[in-house]
Amino acid sequence: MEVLNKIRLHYATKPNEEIQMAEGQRFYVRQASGIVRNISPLNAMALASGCSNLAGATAAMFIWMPYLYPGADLVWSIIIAVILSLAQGALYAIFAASMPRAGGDYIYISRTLHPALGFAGSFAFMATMVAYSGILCWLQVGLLSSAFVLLGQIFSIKPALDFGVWMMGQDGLLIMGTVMLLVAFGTVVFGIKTLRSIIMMLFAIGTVWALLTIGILGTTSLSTFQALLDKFVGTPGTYQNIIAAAKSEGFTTRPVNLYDTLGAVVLVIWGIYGYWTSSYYAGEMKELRRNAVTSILGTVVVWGIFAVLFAALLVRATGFDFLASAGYLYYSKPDLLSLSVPPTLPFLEAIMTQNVVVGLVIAVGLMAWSFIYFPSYFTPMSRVLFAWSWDRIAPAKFASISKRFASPYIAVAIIAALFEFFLIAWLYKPEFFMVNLFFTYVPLYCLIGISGLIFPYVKKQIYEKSAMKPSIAGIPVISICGAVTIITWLIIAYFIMANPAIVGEVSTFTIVMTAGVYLLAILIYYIAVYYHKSRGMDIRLIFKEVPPA
Amino acid sequence: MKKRKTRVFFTADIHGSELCYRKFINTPRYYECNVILLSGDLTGKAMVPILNLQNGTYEAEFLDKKHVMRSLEEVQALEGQIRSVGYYPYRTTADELRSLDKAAVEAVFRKLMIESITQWIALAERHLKDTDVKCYVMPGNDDIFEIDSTFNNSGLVVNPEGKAIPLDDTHEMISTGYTNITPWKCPRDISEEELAKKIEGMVASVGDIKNSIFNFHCPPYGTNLDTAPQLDENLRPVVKGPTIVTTSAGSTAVMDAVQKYQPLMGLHGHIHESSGFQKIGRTMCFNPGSEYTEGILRGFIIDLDEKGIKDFTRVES
Repeated sequence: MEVLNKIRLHYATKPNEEIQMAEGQRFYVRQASGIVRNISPLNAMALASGCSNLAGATAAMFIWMPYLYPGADLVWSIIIAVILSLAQGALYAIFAASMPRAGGDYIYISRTLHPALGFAGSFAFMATMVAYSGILCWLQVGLLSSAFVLLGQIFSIKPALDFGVWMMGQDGLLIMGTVMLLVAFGTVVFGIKTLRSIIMMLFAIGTVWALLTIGILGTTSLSTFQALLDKFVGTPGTYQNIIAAAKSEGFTTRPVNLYDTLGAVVLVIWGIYGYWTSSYYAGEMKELRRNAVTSILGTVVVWGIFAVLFAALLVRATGFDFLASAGYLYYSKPDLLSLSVPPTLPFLEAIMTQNVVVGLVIAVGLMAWSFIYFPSYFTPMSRVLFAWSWDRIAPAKFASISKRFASPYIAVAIIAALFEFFLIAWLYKPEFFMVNLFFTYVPLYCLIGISGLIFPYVKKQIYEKSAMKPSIAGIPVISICGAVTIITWLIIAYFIMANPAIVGEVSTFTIVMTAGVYLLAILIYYIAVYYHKSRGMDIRLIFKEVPPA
Repeated sequence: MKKRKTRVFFTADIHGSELCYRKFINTPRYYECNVILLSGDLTGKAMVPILNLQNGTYEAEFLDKKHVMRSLEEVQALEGQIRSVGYYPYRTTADELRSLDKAAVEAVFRKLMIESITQWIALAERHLKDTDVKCYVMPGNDDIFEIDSTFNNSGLVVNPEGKAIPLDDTHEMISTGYTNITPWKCPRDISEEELAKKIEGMVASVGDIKNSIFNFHCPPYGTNLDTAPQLDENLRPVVKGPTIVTTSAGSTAVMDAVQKYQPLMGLHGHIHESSGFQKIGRTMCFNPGSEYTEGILRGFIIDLDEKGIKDFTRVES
């Protein structure tokens, strides 16, 4: 710690000041380029939270969980999911601390296992993400919709309310989803500084939203919610009617049990997904990389704390039976649900909000989260296309940078176009989606788990140099986390297969299609290898080990 | 494999990592290249004192861990690890350490850097002496001027700074390790005007500019090869909300020269985070980036023939 304090003392000086040596100093750094201070843990957490969108993730979680697993203890499901996510987060964090300029799981898998597997994993990631665009749009437009519903309600502006409701219809989702994609495209490609500054401001407000949500949920009693719900719908007894309607269709909740609680963990993991894609930046002094590890894990913990509070307070305010019944009706029998909006957390919160100022801040916060989401995904996804291009698997054009805007315009345009295509497909031709989307992730994260498991042994040279190599009973933590990650995703696979209502049926056809995605990627990789070999260049040299002379 | 006209292995920014350097001089055997190029930023940034406690034991702090060594073999093993990440081990005593003032520390650094480069040159000469490999090693903006003279006595390892050098019958290379001014005001940081003048001076000596190679340590401004995190006055990356703010740190003089003369290719480094390649007009520019602290040697293999760049691939080891 004394050494680290001394190093921090160095970095407190201006660039052209001399480094002062204190007595007992054990480490000397000269004036050299690239010596930067580490970003603060708070900043690193902000980077991670862009992808792990708190509002977007929790929006539908609290109706999916009780609907799909009507005996789940929501709080314990979140806690278990957070613990498992900490393991995967630690795996990524230690990889990132060991190889900060590597470039994410594509490189981790390529370096540790095989480049064909690395490409297959990243191809599956990209294919699934773009195919998911419809669902992502639904979530993000939903946040915007709930903001307008809230504004319409607290200011008694019917057009705002109607606009919010319209957004969640098929045409509304298409138009608003397209608008949000264009805004994201503009932000990333044209680098519209003003827009970026606004988004940064909205991000801060989005954080305030989370705190206000706790306040709203915590100060609303069950009886108050029932009355507000009746007022919103305009029909007395709405609350009881929803529960009764579900019951009449054969849906009931059951006593809390371990199976349902574990099943609901899958949905939480889906919600927290993405926290490891933070644009973590590490300086070149290996001693100072620990901050990023704790920051990535800190993001998971903070997310988990908010999610637990949301869950506990939401159940207290609305009742588990209501959440489960509303979820069941929304997804299975929407005609019987006497609500014009999805019963997600933002909408329920909108119904509960009575204070105009608080309501306005919450509405703006929800808008903030909705507009942050797509840019947060465009950047890492465009980096994947870049990586393919640099590895000569994809055309060099994919890595083109706009001279005028200094942005990866071709890569982002491809992603935006694919997002739009799959949004339209999801809205108007849902039968188009032959692949169980979430299931496609299972092999990818098993691959990253295996990579973590064996990394200290097969890449000893890199691992031994890492500034972060914690171990427990002599076993590297990254190996333990790799094993936990594999087990986690196999459990996820089991629950996905056991409950088709989660993300669709996992039939033999689904498994074949999932395998097909990976095999297609491997085929593409070897076609690229063959093409370049015919020109005299073996691109398998990319990861060939050259021993030191 | 078919014999190519010229296969270049290009890397940069190893910053004192002896492991990366040893891999560099071994690349001809594994990549079948006949020209190897290490362009810029050769020397390390930090020094790790190894204290002789005068009772048969030695002590050092390295990577947040205290090392206690009881034999010279153990000391040598730790020194090897220290060198592999680009730091310099320095055997000393507690008394000497206490007496080191700013000037003395700088003198120690200079001595260690010169010794290191001298040893590296000797290593390359031993390893490549029976081959026809052309080896070019160029100091960059981070490197002190005192190391330049270490190349003078080597017939095999050539410092290409400021010269027009034929790589083969078709391609000439001009090189400079100078860059534009950085926040750290390094030894070879110069103004854009001075850099432009330097480049113009070299271009004048090139015969066939269209087939030439611009081996300039600083990448062209405003490309995907020069994107670096923006730093505040305390040299901390600027974070705004969920993103790190980035800026272009490359050189306008280099960009102007590439756009004006349109050589065959540009070879650059300097910005470790910005690995990749980008075409500027007809000129393909490369920056391998750097992961020297992990002991990973990053580079590009580029095949050249009479028509130009036949093919290329990035590599890492």
